[in-house]
Amino acid sequence: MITVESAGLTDIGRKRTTNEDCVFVDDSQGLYVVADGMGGHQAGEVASRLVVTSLREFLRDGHPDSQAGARAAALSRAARRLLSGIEWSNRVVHREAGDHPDCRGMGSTVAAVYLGEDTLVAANVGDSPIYLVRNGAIDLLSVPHTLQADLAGEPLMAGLSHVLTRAVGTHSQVEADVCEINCYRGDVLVLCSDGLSTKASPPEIMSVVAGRRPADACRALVELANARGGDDNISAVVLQVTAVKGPKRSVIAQLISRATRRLKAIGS
Amino acid sequence: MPSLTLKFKENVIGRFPVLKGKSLTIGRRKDNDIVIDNLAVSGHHAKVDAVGDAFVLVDLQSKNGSFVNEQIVNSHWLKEGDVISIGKHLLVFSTGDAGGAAEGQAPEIDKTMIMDTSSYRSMVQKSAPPLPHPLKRQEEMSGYLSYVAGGNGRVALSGGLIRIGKDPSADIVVKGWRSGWATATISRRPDGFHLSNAGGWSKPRVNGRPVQKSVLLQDLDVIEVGPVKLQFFLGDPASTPA
Repeated sequence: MITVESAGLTDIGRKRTTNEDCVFVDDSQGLYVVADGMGGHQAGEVASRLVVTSLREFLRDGHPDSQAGARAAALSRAARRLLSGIEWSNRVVHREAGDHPDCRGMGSTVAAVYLGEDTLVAANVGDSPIYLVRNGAIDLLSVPHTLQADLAGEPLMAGLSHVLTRAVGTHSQVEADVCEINCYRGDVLVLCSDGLSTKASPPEIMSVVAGRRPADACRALVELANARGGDDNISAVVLQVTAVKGPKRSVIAQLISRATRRLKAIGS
Repeated sequence: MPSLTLKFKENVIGRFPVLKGKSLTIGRRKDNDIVIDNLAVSGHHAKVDAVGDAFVLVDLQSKNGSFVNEQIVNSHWLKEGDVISIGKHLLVFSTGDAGGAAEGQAPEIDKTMIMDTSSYRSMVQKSAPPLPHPLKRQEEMSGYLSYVAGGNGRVALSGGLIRIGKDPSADIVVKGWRSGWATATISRRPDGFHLSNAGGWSKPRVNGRPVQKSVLLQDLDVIEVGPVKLQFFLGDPASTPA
């Protein structure tokens, strides 16, 4: 059982006239999502909202998991579930795009964290990053799906550095990257859209969230991106792990840990 | 005054006025109004015609094509901020009445767009000599564990979470009554495989050091969970002899 304190915030920024980002935070479901939509007119907004609502409903309503290929077998139930949810979102957005000429070609990124029994699953499509702050270091748990990352250092034509190579809803199928980890008390996760990650480096993001409660951290991150131009929509979800309890713990282990805690308390 | 700004990478090479009632030609040969001396550029590559108050870019059946805002075009009505790619050079169009706002700087392309790596490649191939590098895809990272003590053989590390512990459902089951005390998991992250302490009385060890939370595994690291000792290897277990 993982207990977290969480917050999410999205902001239109200073240059755009619409907000195509969408965030979702739900402690009871243990689901946290940032989606950054794309597509002309209102389609980007439609796509990111569809991703969030379809993913949330999929995980809430207990649709059967797809057994997506060989890799599903190697994954835990929570990881399979989240991947199935993203595949479901992809189908929903793709179908909607096919039905409405206004929405042709729309799509969205997705960065999602889903809390399992005693582990945490992070999955993503596109360039919205998921960071883990632990022990004074910040690591990326997501895999950026951009031309720049795919070409790994090859020269890139000007202006194309942020072009995505994968998105939810643009094709009939999508493959998300997934990563499952143990988490510890004090861990902080930051999910955001590129409106923030192109304006603040990972160490800066770490220093902003350090010592702030999640709601405060979200506000500070959005302010930082706006102060640096706010060229795009800015979204951030911050969750802080407040407690992790193992699924099964023997009575002896509990007694011992209680005893050691007492001893430490006496010692200090 | 309407103008085209010629850029290569981030450097502005020159600015050329576009005059009403006059055509402007772009190409490798010296008789063009804008000369781009590069083999990817055709002798007479493209031209800009003035039509009334507007300007139209016309590709002159160039070998490698003309692109506007990453789209290949035969002809295109130029708008403020359009970016024309010819070979690896860029020409930024400005109507000149926007107060010089877009001058000297290519406008940011509406950022969230999607493109296949292969279609990007075919676009680049059309407009430039073949790239020297073959496609460098991020290869699926692989690794495996080899028993040093407490078992035999190897365990391939997949993308999923590998659990090491006494629980019979664990991927690597540690036998013996003491082993219930330490449990660990190995997860694959974008930067490599991480071993995490998954609870229990004693801690898993990597190279003899107890792991409080998690640690990034290095090739040849030795992992101890209770009586089980495993060595970590990067790479595909099938590609190395047992």
